[in-house]
Amino acid sequence: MNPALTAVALAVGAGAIVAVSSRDPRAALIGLAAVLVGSAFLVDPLPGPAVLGVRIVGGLLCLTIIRLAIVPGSSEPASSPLGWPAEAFLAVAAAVGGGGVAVSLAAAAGPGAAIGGSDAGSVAALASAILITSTATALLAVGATPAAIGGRGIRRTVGVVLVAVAVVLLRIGFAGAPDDLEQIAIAGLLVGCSIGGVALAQAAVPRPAAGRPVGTAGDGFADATDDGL
Amino acid sequence: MILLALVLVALGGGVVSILVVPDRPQLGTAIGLLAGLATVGLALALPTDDALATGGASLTSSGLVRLMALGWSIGTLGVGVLELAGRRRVVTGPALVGLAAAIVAVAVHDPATGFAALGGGGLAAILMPGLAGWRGRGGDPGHLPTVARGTWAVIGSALLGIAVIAWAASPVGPLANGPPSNNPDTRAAASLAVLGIVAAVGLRSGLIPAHVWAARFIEGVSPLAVPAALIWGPAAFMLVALDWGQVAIGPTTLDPVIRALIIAAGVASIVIGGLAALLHDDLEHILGYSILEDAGIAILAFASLHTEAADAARDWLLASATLKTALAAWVSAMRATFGAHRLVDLRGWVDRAPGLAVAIGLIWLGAVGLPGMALFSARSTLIGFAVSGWPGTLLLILSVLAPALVLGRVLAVGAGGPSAAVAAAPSWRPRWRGGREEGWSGRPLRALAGALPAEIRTNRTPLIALLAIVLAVLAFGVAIVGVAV
Repeated sequence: MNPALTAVALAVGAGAIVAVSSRDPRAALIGLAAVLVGSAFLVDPLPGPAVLGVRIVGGLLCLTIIRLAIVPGSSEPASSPLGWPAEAFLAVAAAVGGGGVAVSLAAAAGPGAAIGGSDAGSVAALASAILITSTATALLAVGATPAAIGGRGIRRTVGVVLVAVAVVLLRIGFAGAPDDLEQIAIAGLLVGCSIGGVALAQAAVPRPAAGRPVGTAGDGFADATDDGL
Repeated sequence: MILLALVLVALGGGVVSILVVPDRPQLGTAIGLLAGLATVGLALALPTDDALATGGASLTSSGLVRLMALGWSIGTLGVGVLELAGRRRVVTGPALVGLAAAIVAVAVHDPATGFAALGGGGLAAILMPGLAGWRGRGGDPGHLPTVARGTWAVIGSALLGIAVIAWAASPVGPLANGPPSNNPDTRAAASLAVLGIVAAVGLRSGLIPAHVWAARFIEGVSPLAVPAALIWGPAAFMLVALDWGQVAIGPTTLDPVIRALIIAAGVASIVIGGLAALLHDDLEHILGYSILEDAGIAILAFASLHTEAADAARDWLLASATLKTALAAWVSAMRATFGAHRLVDLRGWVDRAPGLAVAIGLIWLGAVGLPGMALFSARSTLIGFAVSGWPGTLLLILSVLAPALVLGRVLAVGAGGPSAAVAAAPSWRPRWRGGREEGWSGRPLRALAGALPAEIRTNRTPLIALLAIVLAVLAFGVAIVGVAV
């Protein structure tokens, strides 16, 4: 088993737990940074430096954008109501399950077949695929709840980003390393997730009344007159 | 290289326009419109065999890519110009970003890359107009959740697509050893993969039963925002999914239950979309449910994945997308001309806006189709491959009747006596109020240039109608020839 990949996978998993359970938004951002930057390295073989740079810069851009969603004085809790021990248990259980799925994949593939786009005959490649799939399921487990019912603040944005990273890792664990263009598209997708979450979080912040009449729900004409079209 | 230039101009122009518009709306709009104009030029110059190898993948153009780029960029330019009559500037930039993502997605022929690009690139088209509409309405509590659902639908559909493709290509997936064989287990798993992709397409397109977000979204935004958000974006998503279906699955016999589910989703969208468009009284809902009905017809291609059905779906998607873009522009033009959007307030509109009547007439003819038109053949082929016998014939009749009745009703309403809103509308006739009396003939160019803004303002109504006619003519042309153009 590749020790560096294992360390990265552990850092990513720990980062996800911190991101969803910390009461301090800054700590949550540090956890998310570990996820976004670390996930760029969770691929075997590693992409070229330029593509790695795109993924890292993309991850940091996500982080910078998500930072905008932290509303000072917001009453919405950013942390998980379950607390970090429960989230950690959930992540470990999911990782074990994911590892089991990956081992089953290898067994189903049989000798000489491929898993994660690599030669199954190589134990190292198999171990990488298992590790990546385990990390993906752990991220999915801790990210799914805030993504689904995380309200409109940073918690939901963090959840959506975690789910997106989890799907990308599942894709790598199942089907192998993506090509360079797909890595760039993945970076774009993650940035898009961050922008979407932050835009919605900011829009949900109550604003002073604009003084204009409010349109009837379901009546597009109120907006039409606002647009002039 | 033209393909790359097209992507870069659309992406760069769109991003810069989005960033500049909040602080300097006029400059941002000008950048967006210039980039839109450049994309039209590049799309016209794009050869069908342009190829570019980059990042371990190859981007290749085709007639499909060129027509999509052309239709979307002209549509973007058209709605961008129409938006000038309003106060907001939320259409051009997001549409250009979406166009760039769609070109990459369709040209790359790698579904995972395509879905990821569409997921990231399609968000702006939902977020910007959606949030602008929400803020403009003083925080209508019902609209923000709709925008949120739309955002998550775009992201969720991309993630679902990526996950399904990865599973299908994994060692336990049906495509581990190439297209599925005759083994029943493999065929069942391949059918499941197709159902997963159809679910992703349904989520993105707002097909029944995932239609609520799309229907509510249209209520809260300008119709000019609809083409990028709900017409071209979903069409590109479906093109990528079709490409995957044809290459990875091929024309195979799907599991009967899954095939029935796909057909049921398509038929439900056709029937309910058609009925809803017929029963609703406002132009936005008519536009929205017509889009839903079109998507329902396209989804039937997944029931067979036959080459002929997939080709027909491509024709159908592009032709219906250009037609619905023209319809969205027409709805905006009606709002701008009459200040009304309910049919009851639009009685007798034809006399007051014959140009708009010509435009909706062309759209009607294109949407209904005539034998020999690409759109008509595509609809017959798609339904014929999915539903055979008399139910297929009945569905075909329904799918032809629905646009005929829906748009025919709009035209029929316009033939009556004028309502108060219509009677108060400005004249459709072009007028020259410029400086002939002031002696512009003595210094024609400067005087003409100086008088132009006032003339445009004076002739706003006929100019808007002219733009709607131009888009309708383009849409009608695409409906005739299809991708073969």
